[in-house]
Amino acid sequence: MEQLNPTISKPEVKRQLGYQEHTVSNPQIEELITEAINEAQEIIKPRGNYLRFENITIQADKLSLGQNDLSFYSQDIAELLANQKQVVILAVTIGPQLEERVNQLFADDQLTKATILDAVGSIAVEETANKLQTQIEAEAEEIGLPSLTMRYSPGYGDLDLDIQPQLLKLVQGQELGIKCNDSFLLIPQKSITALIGLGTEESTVQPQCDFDCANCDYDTCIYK
Amino acid sequence: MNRFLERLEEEILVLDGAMGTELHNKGLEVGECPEKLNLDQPEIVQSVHQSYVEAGSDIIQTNTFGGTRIKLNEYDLGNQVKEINTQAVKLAQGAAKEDTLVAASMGPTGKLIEPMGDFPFQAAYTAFAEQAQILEAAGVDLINIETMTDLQEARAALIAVKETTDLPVICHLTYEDSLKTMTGTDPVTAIEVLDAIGADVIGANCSMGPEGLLEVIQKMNQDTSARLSVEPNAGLPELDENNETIFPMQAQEMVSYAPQFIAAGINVIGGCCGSTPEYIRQLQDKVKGLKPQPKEKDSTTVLASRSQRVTISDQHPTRMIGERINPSGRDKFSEQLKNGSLELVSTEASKQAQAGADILDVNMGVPEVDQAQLMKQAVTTVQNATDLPITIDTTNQEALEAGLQNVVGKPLINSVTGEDSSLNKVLPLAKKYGAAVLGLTLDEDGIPDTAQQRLEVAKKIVATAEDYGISKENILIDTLTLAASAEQEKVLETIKAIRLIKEELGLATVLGVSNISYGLPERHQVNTSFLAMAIEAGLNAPIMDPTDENMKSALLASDFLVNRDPAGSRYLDEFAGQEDNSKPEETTTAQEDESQDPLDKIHATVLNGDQENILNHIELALENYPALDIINEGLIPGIKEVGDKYDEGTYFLPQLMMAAEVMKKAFSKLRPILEEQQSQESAGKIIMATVKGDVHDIGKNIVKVMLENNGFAIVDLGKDVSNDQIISSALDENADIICLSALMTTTMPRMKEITQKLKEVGPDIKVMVGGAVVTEEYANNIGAHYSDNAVQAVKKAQKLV
Repeated sequence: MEQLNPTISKPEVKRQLGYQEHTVSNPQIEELITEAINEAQEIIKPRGNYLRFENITIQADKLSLGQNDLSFYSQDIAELLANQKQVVILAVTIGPQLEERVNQLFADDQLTKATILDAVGSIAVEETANKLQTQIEAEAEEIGLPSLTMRYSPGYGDLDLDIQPQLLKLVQGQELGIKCNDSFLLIPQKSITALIGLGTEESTVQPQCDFDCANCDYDTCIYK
Repeated sequence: MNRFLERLEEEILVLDGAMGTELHNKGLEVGECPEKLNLDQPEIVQSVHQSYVEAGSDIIQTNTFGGTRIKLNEYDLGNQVKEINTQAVKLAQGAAKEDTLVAASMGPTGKLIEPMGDFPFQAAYTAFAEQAQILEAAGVDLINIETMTDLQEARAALIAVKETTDLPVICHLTYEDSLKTMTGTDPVTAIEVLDAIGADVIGANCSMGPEGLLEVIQKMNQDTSARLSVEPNAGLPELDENNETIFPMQAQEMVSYAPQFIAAGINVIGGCCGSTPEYIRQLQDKVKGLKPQPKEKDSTTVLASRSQRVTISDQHPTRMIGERINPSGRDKFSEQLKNGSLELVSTEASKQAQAGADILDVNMGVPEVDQAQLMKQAVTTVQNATDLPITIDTTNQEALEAGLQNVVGKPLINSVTGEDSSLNKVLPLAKKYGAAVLGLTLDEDGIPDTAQQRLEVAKKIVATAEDYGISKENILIDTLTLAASAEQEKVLETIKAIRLIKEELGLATVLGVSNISYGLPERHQVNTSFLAMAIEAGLNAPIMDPTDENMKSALLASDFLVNRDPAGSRYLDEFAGQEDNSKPEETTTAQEDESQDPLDKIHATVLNGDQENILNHIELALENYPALDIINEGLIPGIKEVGDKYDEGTYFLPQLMMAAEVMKKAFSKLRPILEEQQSQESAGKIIMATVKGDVHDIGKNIVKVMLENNGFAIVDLGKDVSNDQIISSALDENADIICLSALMTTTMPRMKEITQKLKEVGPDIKVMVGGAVVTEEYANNIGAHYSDNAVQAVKKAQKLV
């Protein structure tokens, strides 16, 4: 897999920590955040993998991907993939090192550092997924399917978490160092699995609308 | 003069209302391309235009919001960009009356531009330029850029329109409840950046309805002479009983905000999502005959980053331009940059910001590298590391343009000289990208000997810049420092030139200071004296090393002496805490201690998250107060105030945690004393756990710390804890409350099970629940209590015991 090293944006980290318009930060905090970003860059081991299936079979809410490599029930995914030609499943992680360090910091009562580093980790794994998605976009472009749907993760809508073990098996989660526990939560915690549909035209399926338009990624919405 | 600009001076111009919602009402399906209707069902689009013309719109807008090639490509319509946009203009013109103006709507591409996203600035620019030129050729009167959520995309669109057409342009951004755009720009910063690029009217549209937008417009108007525009939506959309989207606000209510908008300084008003022809009719009735507020030209020099502005003037503190992002004379730095590593760029940016730099100079003068590429990476790195405005320091034109494209905000170009070749190369770029420019007083004949001659060069730079349409406040002048060891007699000419620039031109001044001591021993002695002299003469922004304590002290002292530091508050902030060696030590400490009650001090220490001093303060307080009073009257009120500040958003999570660390330290000192006196009172006993199967415990840990600090006794069972273990501990410990955390829908049912079981075995024990997926509704359903952050959890727990 090519370079997945995420660029961790400081403003994103601050937002993750609750920074708003009228929040007043201070130099000490700014320094701690910068240090945490630098430390994270040192210790995280971003890895990821994806797998593309050329076949999607949908019957009502039953889906089958590839040569029945993955089958499951989800009305939301059935809608997401309704007009898509192919589908990609992906997994990324930044490794266990960062969260081990966060736990250690908490244990040492270094609460501020722990909280900040945890937020940095959340941004880092999202960015790692974005990096991987860039590679997927490039491949999709090459095969003439330039439109990607949103990245849909288990736990979203009616896509149950219990699909995690199958997803991990397909994208070789074990090799990436990603497992899941009995409640189907990913370990390391800073990991993501997701599905993306590939097609020739923009998917019209949107995530359930909460009308938080300014924050919405769904950019083909008619409510300009 | 364009008829739009002409009328803008005299009238409040009324735009039209929503296009999207109206088309939707006429049958457009969600997910269809609204612009395609221009070709497929032109009569529908034209009927919307007609309804707005009849309602009295002075300006109607073409159905081209998503009409860039990039956006149309999402529907495979990119190759019809010309037909779709041209046809849209025809439809609007067909509906227009003779005096109706036709504005072309231009909206976002849907891509996030670098540096925040990965879509190249140039690609967005090209798409906007293409659309704008088609619209101009089709005959629109002006362009209206709308609903931009990222300042960088707004820049791309605005620069494209200004550069490739002669049309006037309105530029609207969309703000969130925080009064910032999605990518963190506040209205005042936005206006600075867009005004510098040359927007004729600047505004806000969509998002939070008229009430929120009024606040945005009021903020904008405080600090600008720019003309303003607003397009509110009809409140936030709701779903009705048939699951149809409706906008709740009626025309009459929306129109009631119009007088306030006019008082807040708008020149143009319309409507966004959910606004109707009826609204426009009532709006026109309301504003007819009203005149816009007069605007006064504001001529202060301002630079901006994505999220903050720095004003440079004689009424403001002297600004430090940090010089350390510069590899010249630093082998390790050069080597790193050649190898493509920007680590030192990032470190130097943070270090200087930390030291108090106001602006950062970025110089990537390394031989044998792609200067443009390196400059682009460097400005991106600096913007990720800090929120400070940037000075692009290069003589390479490609590098300059790459820097200008990728700096989000209003940068300073370092530099242009009085040479024609330099002026003609740099000034067009400054104009195009809305940058300020630093003029060096040298020309084809080199650096003039006298101050008077340097003033002449400065005048030439100003005159040429004004010819290019760059106004005076966007020009800063550097009168050039020469090494005193070589040309001692010219030192005072540099100082005199600053004075002349101030008196004759009134411009902001910049000076690279440290060159003065080149070749001398003890350079800082000369540097600090020279800096003080220059500030006295009127220097506004030295280029210097902010991490050099000597220089920073000289700057603060000088600012105090020349009265740019009212009441010496910055000087005192920096130095008042330090021991003054000239006084006997005891006197100072004694005075300081008497001046403030020890409990107030402890309160302040918690508020400031000051770990270093908390134990000292506690020890001092213990001389006069019992431990319990220190807790109840010093620490607890302190952490309460921190909690309030967190609630209102003045503090964010790091401050909450810093205060928590101070509390922990204080308790570690006080707890043994309390135990000895047996006066320990607990606010209540709480069992905490993340439920079985769930491994996420960051949120729980934060809540725990806050509860502890507010006097609760906590038993933390950790994560992945079974129902039985949680319940039996609660019974054993005689707990008042069980706090449960769950992050996922799969583990959330444990909360319900525990709550139900408790009804049988421990009905007096209250259950509090929280976590990403947990809602108040869920908590109510299972008979538990909910809070959505750590501060709320404390308040809830206090109520429950």
